[in-house]
Amino acid sequence: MYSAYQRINNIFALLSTCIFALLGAIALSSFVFTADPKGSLSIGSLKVYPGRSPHFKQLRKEYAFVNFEVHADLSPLFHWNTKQLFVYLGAEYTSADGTRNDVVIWDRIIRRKEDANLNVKGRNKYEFRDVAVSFKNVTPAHYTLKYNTMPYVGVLTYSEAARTDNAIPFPLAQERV
Amino acid sequence: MDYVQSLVEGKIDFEGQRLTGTFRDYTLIGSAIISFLFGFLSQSLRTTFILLGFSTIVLCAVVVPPWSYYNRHPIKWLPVKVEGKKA
Repeated sequence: MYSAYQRINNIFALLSTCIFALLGAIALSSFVFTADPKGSLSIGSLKVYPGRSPHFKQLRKEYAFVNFEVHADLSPLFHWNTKQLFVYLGAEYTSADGTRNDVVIWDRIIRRKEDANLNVKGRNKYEFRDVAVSFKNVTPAHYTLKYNTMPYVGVLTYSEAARTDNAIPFPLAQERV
Repeated sequence: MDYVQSLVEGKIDFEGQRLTGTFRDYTLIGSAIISFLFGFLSQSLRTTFILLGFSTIVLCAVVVPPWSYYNRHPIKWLPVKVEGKKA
């Protein structure tokens, strides 16, 4: 603290400690907010069509097309330490060889509280196919609406907002109409 | 030139050094706590960091320049012994 330069150095040394303590406190403060909003999810129609894989042209694979409807008000999740929400729709089923799958077929990033009231009627955004060539002998799928809260500082938290009441079986593949 | 150098160097006395240390501790720790509380109540991280940044700037203005307030207790040196008189 003898010279001006030492005093500047000294201030910023303590300031960095204070900032880290502050960031830690902010990260911990997210646990005070325990909002757990629930929504509804319904599957309108589920169709399976054969198609060609873009990578292996000879291979004929089956693609599933899901029409769904989502209603969920996720605005309670926005507090001072929420940067954005990642909302995604997953299909949970077990393949014919016994592998458990959780396939993301639709997602959305919500950046503002004003956009957090979801009312979406849509179709799967990403192609939905099984690891095997077809959907034969797979178990019926549960569809879930999950979200991931991304904070400015702190830990990511995962949670589920909605789930279909009954597992929905995959229909047999139909030729393209 | 000596004047400019002393201004840049900004020496203060021991009592002043103790004071600047105290100011620094109270201001930084206090403003960290207050900015957290205000930010939490207003639910805005921007409030938190504007408060902390502003109080740091004020603290720099108070502590860094060698204000005369920090030089009110100069060291009283003993008078110089004149040697060689005895011989």
